[in-house]
Amino acid sequence: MGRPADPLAMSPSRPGRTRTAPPVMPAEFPAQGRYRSYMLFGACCVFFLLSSLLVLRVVDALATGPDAWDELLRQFRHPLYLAYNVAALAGFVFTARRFLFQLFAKSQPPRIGPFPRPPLAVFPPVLGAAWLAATALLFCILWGAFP
Amino acid sequence: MSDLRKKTFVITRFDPDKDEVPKTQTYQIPVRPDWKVLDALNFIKDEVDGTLSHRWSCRMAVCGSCGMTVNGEPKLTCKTALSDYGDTVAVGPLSNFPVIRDLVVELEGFMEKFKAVKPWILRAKEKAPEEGVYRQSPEQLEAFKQFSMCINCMLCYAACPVVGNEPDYLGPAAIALGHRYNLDSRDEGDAERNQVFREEGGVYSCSYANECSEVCPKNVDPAAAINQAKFLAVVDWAKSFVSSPPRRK
Amino acid sequence: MRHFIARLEPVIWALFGGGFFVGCLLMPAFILTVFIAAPLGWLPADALSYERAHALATNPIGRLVLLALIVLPFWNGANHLRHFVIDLRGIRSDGIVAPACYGAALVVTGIAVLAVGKL
Repeated sequence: MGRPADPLAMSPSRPGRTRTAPPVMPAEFPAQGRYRSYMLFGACCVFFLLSSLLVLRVVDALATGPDAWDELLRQFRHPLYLAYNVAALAGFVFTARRFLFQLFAKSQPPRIGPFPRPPLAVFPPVLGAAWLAATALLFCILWGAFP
Repeated sequence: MSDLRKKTFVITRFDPDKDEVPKTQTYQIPVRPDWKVLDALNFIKDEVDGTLSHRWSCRMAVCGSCGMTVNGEPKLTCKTALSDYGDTVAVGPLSNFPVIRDLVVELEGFMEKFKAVKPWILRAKEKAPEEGVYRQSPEQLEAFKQFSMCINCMLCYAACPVVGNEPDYLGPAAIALGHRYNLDSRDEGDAERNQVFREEGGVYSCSYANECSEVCPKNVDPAAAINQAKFLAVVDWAKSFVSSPPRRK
Repeated sequence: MRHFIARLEPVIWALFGGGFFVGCLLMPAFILTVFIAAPLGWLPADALSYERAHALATNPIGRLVLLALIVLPFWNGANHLRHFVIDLRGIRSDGIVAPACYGAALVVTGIAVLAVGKL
């Protein structure tokens, strides 16, 4: 049996004629079966929060000057930062897999104004290509491929 | 029946007149190889314990009455083969619902959410009968047909973690049906429904678990409906700043 | 408070969706280069020297990308964290958690706009 749900979950606005047993959450929630992947997806919010703050640090260091920039890169060499960023990379890839390839296509309405939605099968390869292209482009720019 | 295999059923029981909390009761019965879980429950009620209460009707997965939790997952018991399980099968009422008795849950809460999305054609002016029928092309029908296949079995509500945590949440079936009407070319009520979708407990409470679509026995894909509705509700909200929505009188 | 936040949900959801896109499409490359390769010295010399990095960042497109990389993923994370806490603790803490999450997102948005403007 699952853990207790909210006592008012699915309750009518007026009680019925007999006493009811309180609702319980699904048995496998939160850490078993498919819920595990769902909770991991939710936990990846930490990477979205922290990595955006790291980008803010990058902007701040660039605005301050070359010494601040060098110091920031030196700090990012710390094993904890590197370990976090490797984990964050995995987290973003996991999120991308769920969002781009499992949720996005079917979330598009059949029509937006005059434009019909393309067939669902078109979405994964197009989104995959866009993902690879965006990653490759930004990577090349930052790597120094374009002066 | 004596040469048939026996299976053990651990069934959740609750009698509000006698029990403080639900408890389980175990039955061991002979089962036929082709039986569904519902056949076993009906055998228990008919031959072993007449006090067992459970809902069922069509026996062919179109009425949505027999939804229960089988070994931890929400299932239509008329459609769930006993051969998919081992020697012990646990059957309980649907999760996330108050329990009236044994395997019977309170559905009135769902009916209120259902009515809130106005699941009927809304038009400013009905066509007079002499003007003829509303015509729809195959493409217009395809736009919403999938979401009209819901049999209100409530398995999606039982699987959704948000339903269990947010009492206000409209839930997958109600939102999918509201979206079905928003997509119907005969309907003019999307502004009204999108208002309901944007309220507390509306579509934005959905957190992408996708469990509703995983358990749906009719491939309605309510997660698709909810997420399409999120997008369309934003468009509707943005449009409301530019022009007022058509008002139905 | 939940009712007030509910009225802003369309905007929050749009930012949440934008955060998914920016996070998924741009963050992996940014993490690989700026947060891993550059500190470890794996990039070609001067690829992310201060001069080049500053030039990229002060380019109008660069400013927009950096702003997007801060603001949108943070809004995504804030909204997702709120729902994650609801999954774990039910709705009882939402009266505090929701304003805290979105309040933090507003603050970070303000700081990001100022920081990118200062470049």
